[in-house]
Amino acid sequence: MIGFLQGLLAPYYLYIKLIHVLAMAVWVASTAVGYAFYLVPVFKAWRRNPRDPELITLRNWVMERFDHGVIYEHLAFPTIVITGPLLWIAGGWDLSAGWFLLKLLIVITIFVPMEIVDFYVSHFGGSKAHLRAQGDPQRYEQGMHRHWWFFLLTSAPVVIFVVLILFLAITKPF
Amino acid sequence: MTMNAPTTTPVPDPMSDPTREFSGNPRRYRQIAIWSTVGLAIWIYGAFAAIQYFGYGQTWPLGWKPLLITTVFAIWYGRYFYRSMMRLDAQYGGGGSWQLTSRMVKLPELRQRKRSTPPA
Repeated sequence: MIGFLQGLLAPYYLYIKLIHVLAMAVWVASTAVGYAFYLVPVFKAWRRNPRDPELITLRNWVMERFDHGVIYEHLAFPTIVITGPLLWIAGGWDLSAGWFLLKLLIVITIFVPMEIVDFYVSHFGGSKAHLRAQGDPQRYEQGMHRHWWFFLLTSAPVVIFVVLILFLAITKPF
Repeated sequence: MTMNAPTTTPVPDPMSDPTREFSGNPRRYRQIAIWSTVGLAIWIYGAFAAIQYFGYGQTWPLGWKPLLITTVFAIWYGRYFYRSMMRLDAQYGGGGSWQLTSRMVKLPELRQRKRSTPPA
């Protein structure tokens, strides 16, 4: 079965890789400016002035816009998850390749759970537009705090481990 | 030319509860950074070494160099993780490089989509 799939996909290896790399670029960079230069300054100001009504209004607006803006990232991630295994099969890699195994462990341990939570807090039950439509200020505030926790917990791992998986994929050091 | 300051009192977004305190604090950030880093390092190194050893007979992941690299990386990463959370959550400094400017603005909002009700 794997041999059959490998024969089928191998001629398209570079095309699949092109889609994988493009999706990776969108996944990594599409929210960077919005996050670092719009969302974070507003949230820092709110954390220093947690009862300021103007800052709360701006905080809510910027997070709802960010929920919407993260759509590009969340189209790119499933594309990576689909094209990654296709490359695995087409390229004939196995887990004896250390760089590949380490990259796979990082993706499965860190990025897949992170993106599942991110999908939920941005688009499904945790989406701020969804919570606003429910009309319960306490649940809305709880959702806002949960999303801020998500950013606190994921910002450092994203920076470090994205660089690490790019390093492993490009240099294949061991 | 002088700009007139807004004369209306700001009205908070009704969808908020300013009385609810955010639950993050430096002590929690430190604990999260330490224990998540320890767990992550043990899991990723352990899984990597186990798969390489039991699956392919590779012994090099069990040597002192991979262990040393993992330990040094974990110490550096744990510190970076803690400082990242502290910095993001405005726990360092007083925000003196920013000023808060009050302005009257209109924020563009998406209209709620009206869903058509299915016929009875």
